Amino acid sequence: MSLDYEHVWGYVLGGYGLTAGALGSYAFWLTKKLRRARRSVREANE
Amino acid sequence: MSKQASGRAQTVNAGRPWLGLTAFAGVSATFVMGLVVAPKDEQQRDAYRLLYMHVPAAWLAYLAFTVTAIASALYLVPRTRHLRWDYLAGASGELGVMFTALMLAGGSLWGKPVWGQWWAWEARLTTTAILLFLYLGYLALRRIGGSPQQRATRSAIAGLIAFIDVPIVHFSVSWWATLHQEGSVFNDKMQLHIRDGVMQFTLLLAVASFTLLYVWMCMRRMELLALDEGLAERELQLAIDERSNRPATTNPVTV
Amino acid sequence: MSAFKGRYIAAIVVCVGAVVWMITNLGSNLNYMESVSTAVQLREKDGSAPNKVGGVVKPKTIDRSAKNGATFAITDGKATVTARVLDTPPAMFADCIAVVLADARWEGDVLVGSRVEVRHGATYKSDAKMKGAVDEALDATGCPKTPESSEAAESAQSRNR
Repeated sequence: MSLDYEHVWGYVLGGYGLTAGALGSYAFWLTKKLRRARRSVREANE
Repeated sequence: MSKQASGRAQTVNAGRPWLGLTAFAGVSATFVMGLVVAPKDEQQRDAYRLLYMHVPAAWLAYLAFTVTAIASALYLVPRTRHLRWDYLAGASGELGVMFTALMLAGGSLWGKPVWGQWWAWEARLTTTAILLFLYLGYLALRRIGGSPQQRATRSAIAGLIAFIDVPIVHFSVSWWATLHQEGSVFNDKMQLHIRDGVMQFTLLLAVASFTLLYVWMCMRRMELLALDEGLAERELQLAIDERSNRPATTNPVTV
Repeated sequence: MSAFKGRYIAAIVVCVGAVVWMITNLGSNLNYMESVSTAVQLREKDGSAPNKVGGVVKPKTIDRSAKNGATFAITDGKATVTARVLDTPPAMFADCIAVVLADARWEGDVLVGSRVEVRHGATYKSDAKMKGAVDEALDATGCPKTPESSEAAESAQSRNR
């Protein structure tokens, strides 16, 4: 096949970027919320 | 901090940073392998690289919903009934929704250059969309009020009902003529259709590292659900004490 | 009715509506396409055509001389017809690729569709290693065997049994 496939990189990078963004954002949100919850429990139990 | 809470915190912290770091290192390596190292496919050229995001997302959607169903069943069985199964079902269901959304979005980005379509109303895609809506409904149901036990019971029933769609999604490509191709790994003949060693390794790395990430996130989400519930219960108890002019309860928050 | 209750009712209506909409669409698309043989049988019966016709592009039949779209022969190994697509086909459209001709209708003996969708296979091979590898088995469509081309041929045979 001799067709031009250069244009697919936009879709490929979009897919990788979307995955990285979703997983990274979720992990960040989770870590932040968990730290806050642990601190609240610690304070409540002191 | 009470001894009980302190001990629990140490237990939940143990090993988790190591697990999270390993998972993120694996996912980063998958990105490098998938984008740079793995060779182009003979037919799809670079477009096939989305396989390394799409297949792990699909696998984890199946795994997460299976875990939700098993945990739901364990909660419903009186002998094994414990709220930790409800937390596991909720955490895994939430992650399953995220991976299903990623599977659909990544698949759409793959479909446009290859099929020529962002979306097609064919059996695989449609049953997957239904799966996403079913579990969004499951997550909405978890947020409706009531005691933790009431929530756990109704969520467990919903979690088991929604799971019916998982095998339908998986076998849709075998049962009906679809635009979507058959499975590359878990197909009818269980033959691996990926013929290149580097491609196989990259896919294996992707599946393994995404699975580790799922385990790490699921454990943390479970802990967060339990802590939030413990704090909410304590707040409720304090409010009741205040209204009835009793001295504030000093029981530690337990999860 | 409180705003809280109204929001829940609206959410339920939207969810139920979405599911009903998807199920009705699913009902008409359980089989996404029909074979070329079925399309030929329907033409002989009442001149109609399935909405979507799946098959394989017969080698060396693609003609891109028209301003838009392309003309090619589509086959399932049993029946072969000339097809014309009005929209520009996707980049992967080529000889021996499995395709679906969408919004199909007969114009004489020519199957005309608004667009072509490519059904790529589930087999992945490194492009570097496959150069020069031409000794592949051909199936009834005249193309190397792939799950999609074999499926097209098998579905045509089972419908004609």
